[in-house]
Amino acid sequence: MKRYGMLLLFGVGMIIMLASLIILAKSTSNSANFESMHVWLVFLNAAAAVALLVVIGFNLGKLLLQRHRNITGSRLTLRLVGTFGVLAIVPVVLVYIFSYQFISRGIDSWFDVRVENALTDAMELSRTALDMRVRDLLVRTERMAHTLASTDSRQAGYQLDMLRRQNGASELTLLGGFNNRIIATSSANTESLVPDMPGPDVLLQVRAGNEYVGLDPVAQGGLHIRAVVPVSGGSAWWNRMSLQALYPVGGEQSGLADRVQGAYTRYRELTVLRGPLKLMFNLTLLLVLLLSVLMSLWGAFVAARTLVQPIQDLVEGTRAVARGDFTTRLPLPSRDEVGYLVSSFNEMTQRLAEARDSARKSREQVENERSYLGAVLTRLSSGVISFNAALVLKTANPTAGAILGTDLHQYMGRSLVGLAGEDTLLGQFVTACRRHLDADDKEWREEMVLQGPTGRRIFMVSCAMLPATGEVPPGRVVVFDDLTQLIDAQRDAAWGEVARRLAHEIKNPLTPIQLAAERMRRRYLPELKGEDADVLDRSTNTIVQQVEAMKSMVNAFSEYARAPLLAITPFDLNALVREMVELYRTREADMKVQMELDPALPPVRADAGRVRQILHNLLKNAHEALENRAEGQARIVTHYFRRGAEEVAELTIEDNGPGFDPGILAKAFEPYVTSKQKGTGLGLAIVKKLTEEHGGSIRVQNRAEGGAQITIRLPINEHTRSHALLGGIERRAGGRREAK
Amino acid sequence: MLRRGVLPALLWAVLLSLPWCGAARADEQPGFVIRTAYTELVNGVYYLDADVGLNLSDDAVNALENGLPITVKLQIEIIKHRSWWFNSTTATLTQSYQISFHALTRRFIVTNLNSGEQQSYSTYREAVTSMGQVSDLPIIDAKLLDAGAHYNIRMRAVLDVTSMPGPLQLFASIFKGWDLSSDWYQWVLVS
Repeated sequence: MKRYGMLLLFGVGMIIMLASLIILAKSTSNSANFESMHVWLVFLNAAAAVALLVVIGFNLGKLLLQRHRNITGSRLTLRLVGTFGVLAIVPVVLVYIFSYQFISRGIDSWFDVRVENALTDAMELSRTALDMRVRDLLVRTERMAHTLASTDSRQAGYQLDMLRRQNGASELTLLGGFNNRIIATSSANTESLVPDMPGPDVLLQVRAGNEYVGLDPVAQGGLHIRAVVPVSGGSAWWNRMSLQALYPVGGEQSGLADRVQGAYTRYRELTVLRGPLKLMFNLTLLLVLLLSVLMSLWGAFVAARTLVQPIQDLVEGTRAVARGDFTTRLPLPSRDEVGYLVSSFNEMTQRLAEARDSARKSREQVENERSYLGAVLTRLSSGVISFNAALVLKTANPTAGAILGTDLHQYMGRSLVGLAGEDTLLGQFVTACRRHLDADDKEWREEMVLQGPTGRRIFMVSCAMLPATGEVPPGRVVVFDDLTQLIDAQRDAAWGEVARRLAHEIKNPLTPIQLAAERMRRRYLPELKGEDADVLDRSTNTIVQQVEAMKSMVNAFSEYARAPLLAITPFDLNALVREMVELYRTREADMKVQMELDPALPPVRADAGRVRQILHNLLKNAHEALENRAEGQARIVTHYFRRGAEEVAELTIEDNGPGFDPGILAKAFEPYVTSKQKGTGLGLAIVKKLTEEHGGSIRVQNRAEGGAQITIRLPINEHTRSHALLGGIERRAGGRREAK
Repeated sequence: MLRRGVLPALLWAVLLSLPWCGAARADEQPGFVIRTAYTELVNGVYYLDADVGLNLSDDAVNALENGLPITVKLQIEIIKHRSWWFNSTTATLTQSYQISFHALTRRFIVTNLNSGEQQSYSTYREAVTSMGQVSDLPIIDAKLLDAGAHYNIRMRAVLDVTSMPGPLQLFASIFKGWDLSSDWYQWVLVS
């Protein structure tokens, strides 16, 4: 809308300008014939110029303000407007200077001293030519006055008429009295009722007794010669009369005089109009040129804006792109180079947006894969760690830390070289790995046997080279599994099978042996006497007893191999401990057992019978270790603790006996491993089996001050137990030990 | 057509004005002024008598002496007074007089453009003085006025620029010395 308004204004301005030019051209060709419309046109143009000036001033002010505020494109617009302005003003000023000179000279050339002199002379000649006649007519009029003086006033009218006809006058009037009244008149023009009266100055002159004669233009009558003479009749001055005679200046002489007068007047008029004419021309010229300059200035504004607008858009668009906004699409201004630039910009932003989108998508994909991998690694039962060529730890999943019994996050970004040689599980692990790294093995696989705090640990470790990135030497990823439990379980299963078969194979002949021995005793003991009877008695007794012992041993084997279902019920562990200790105290009077029971311990959900058996076995172990020791003392401790959702009951039995032989400490839980003379070697194996059936863990160690210490951890609630049964509790127990 | 008594009036006017005329010419500022104006009711018709001082500027006199005719308009308005509303103009009368210089005879010619009457004078001063003398100019018939209404009459003299040639019009509208007009001179016609 605004654009159309501007165009309309521009069009109207152009039309006014053209009209001014045309009128100027016409005025030049017909200089004297100015129309009054020109004045209005000049004012109209001036008004248009003022309006344009206001518009340009407003625009310029706005532009300067924009420049001051450093708004984009204002500098370029200002420069363009300045250039356009100078380009328009310079030629226009030149044109004005030359045109002004041409106009001035053109008008001045109309006037020539010689022409003026000639005209003046012509006028003078006309007057001289008429003067002769004037004087002649004055004499004639005086003669008529003389004639009239002797005429009776009653015949004056008739006399006048006659005299007029005789002397060729157009009008004769006799005036008289105080008021110069018309006494009588005679006119050739019958239409005119009132005679043409002389001026007051003439009357005054005649009244003073003088004559008057002169040329006088008469209304509707052309040029006349007026002669007024006194009539010597009356004596008193108020009664004096005067005669006026009007003679037409006829014929060729009059026409010539008129033409000379006309030309002279015209010429004189022009001299007067010279100044105003010049002013008029210059003003019109100035206005037209001013309008041209202003229009071109305004055009400069419009053009600069049209030109700068897309550039301004481009600058804004570039800024938006720099800010990261790729959605900017600029309007296409035209099909020229600027338009091409703008369309290229639009294409660029579109491509940038597409590139950004695809980069974001691929990043998201990478993130997804990463989190997927992270989730997999977190839930993986294998430990995974990666490190670079300098053995700096890069990644480690939680399982790795749990298996190695340490929090690996504290080593993240640090070199593991320093840990080699340490006695910890991690230290041993690193040492074992370094052997391969030093040998520059690309990929390797090894079963490692390490010594952990809970005993021997068997890891299956495999290592692979990571793909090299750039010039950095490739790192490695190490995946390892803790096979200890698996191998233990396999071993336990094997032993169970052996025990079952042995029990079966051995138990079968035992009863016939026992029966046979008893029958022998019953049959032959009464028949024998003396020493024979004594031998038989002892032998059969020995057989029966040994068979009984063998039977109990076989039963123990069966017990170990047997795996009945657990009867899980909540029960008070402390009460069970107290009961068992009391039982031992009554049975084994020499045993000293000290109890430290945690009153905070809640009921434990477990198979009470099996726990009883665990306690029995452990107390039995302690008792056997303390046999024949004066200061022998056992200590039994219960402790309750919880970590998050896990609740654990810890049961520790220790003694001050000889402790475990270091050689068998690592294999203490394997069947038939015993340091005692008697005993099946199944006690601790059964304890471990029962403990693990409950999802618990067991740890055996020698105390620093001497004696053995066995610690059992049992999950209290179902949640902890199910977690532990999935294979975690021992590792967690190990971790906690580290944390403690 | 000249009315009875015009000539003596003109004569007396000239006689009265002659002694101070020359002096006035020297020091009087260019401009028009209504010196006196009055109306009289004769036989049911209002007649105007006025004395208007017409002092043309030097530029105007120069133009006149170089053959450019100059027109002076006497604008006369009869205004009906209304108590509760704007006044209304009952009648408007314009008398135009033209003064020109006849180069051949060296006489100034005053023409009443309304009636066509023409009179020549040997001097400029006489011409403008006679031009400023208005006597027995019939204005309005008394019958045309509402009985009992209050009427004012006012008049002024204006140099008619529009009758001049185009360039001079522009010149006159830009430069001072051409914009000649008297103030309105107002008096009561009928009360």
